[in-house]
Amino acid sequence: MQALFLVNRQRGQAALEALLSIILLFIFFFVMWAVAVAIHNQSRMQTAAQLAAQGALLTYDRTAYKGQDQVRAQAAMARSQIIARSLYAENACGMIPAPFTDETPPACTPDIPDLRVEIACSPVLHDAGAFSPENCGRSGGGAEGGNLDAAVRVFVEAEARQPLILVSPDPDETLALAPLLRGQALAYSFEPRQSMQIGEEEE
Amino acid sequence: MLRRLRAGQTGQAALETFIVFAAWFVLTMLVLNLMFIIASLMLNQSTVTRGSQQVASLGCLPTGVAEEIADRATFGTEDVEVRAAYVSPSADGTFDRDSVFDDQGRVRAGAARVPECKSSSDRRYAPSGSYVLVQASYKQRVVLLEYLGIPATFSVTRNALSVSNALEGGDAS
Repeated sequence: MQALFLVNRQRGQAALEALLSIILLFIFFFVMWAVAVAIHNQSRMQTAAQLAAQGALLTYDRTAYKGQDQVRAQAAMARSQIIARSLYAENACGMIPAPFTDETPPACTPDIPDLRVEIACSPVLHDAGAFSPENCGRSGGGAEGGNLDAAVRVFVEAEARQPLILVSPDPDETLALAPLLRGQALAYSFEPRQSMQIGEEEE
Repeated sequence: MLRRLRAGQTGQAALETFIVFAAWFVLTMLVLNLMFIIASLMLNQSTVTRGSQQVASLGCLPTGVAEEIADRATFGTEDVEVRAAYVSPSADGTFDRDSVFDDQGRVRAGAARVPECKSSSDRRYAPSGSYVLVQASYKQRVVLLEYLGIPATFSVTRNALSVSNALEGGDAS
């Protein structure tokens, strides 16, 4: 009788241990899956940001009259913003939803609230503090002579939260596990022709 | 009696351990396979993105894009098809993927296919500033399920859009 009782107790304990190990295993799988999805989506956002920055820069450079027309430069900046948004939306679209939810970071429409596109110009490439949108389309007055918009910089930044629904569906909740995915990219172009000509003339 | 009970228990415990281990092994491998598939998606997206940038500057589609994806057979990719086309941005700058390729991968009216890079005459420069879309479609096999005798494949499409920086003058063919 005592032996049977012992056997039954051991069986119960073994079943409990097996159940616990399976629960732990599933938690591990869930975390692994969530991390892999977050890495994939983060990569997607970063790639999209880079392509958006390059596309916006190209659009600006071929549309603006550098150093000649500020109004035209403003129009080129507006156009570049639109192109950047379209490029970002298209390239970021197709993110994988977080485990056990259909919710993906919003990216398949150009109306992305957390997408920032900034276009700024500077007479020199090496001074990050010299870049300003006001310099775009303006000539003269640069520290090294030439246009104030010899260098153009496009900065694209996008953010999105990916809630892990098993932990909390609300990313704003305290202790909610919702990794912040961020894509940031810079693109530069530099056309020093006028500055160099002036420099060569001085020599 | 106790000895007999213990002997029977040992055999049962071994069986139970084996069943738990087998289930654990299959589950782990399935999750590992899932990780491989996500890795494959990332790598192929990267390849298509580079392809899109190359098309934007070369004016033709390098065959290496499809070859690179096909080489990842360890991830279970097969029937790889890569295509590229360009389209001029609309007045409001928006882009609609469905206006370039249809479901069968044919180029729609209003868009132009970019040929594969074989000779210099194959080049077709997308006018500077136009959208260049490179699309790769392939079948992704879930290798572990196939090992278990369950055929499992699903279709994957990877897209990458960039802006052409090719020479001015448009179609060079």
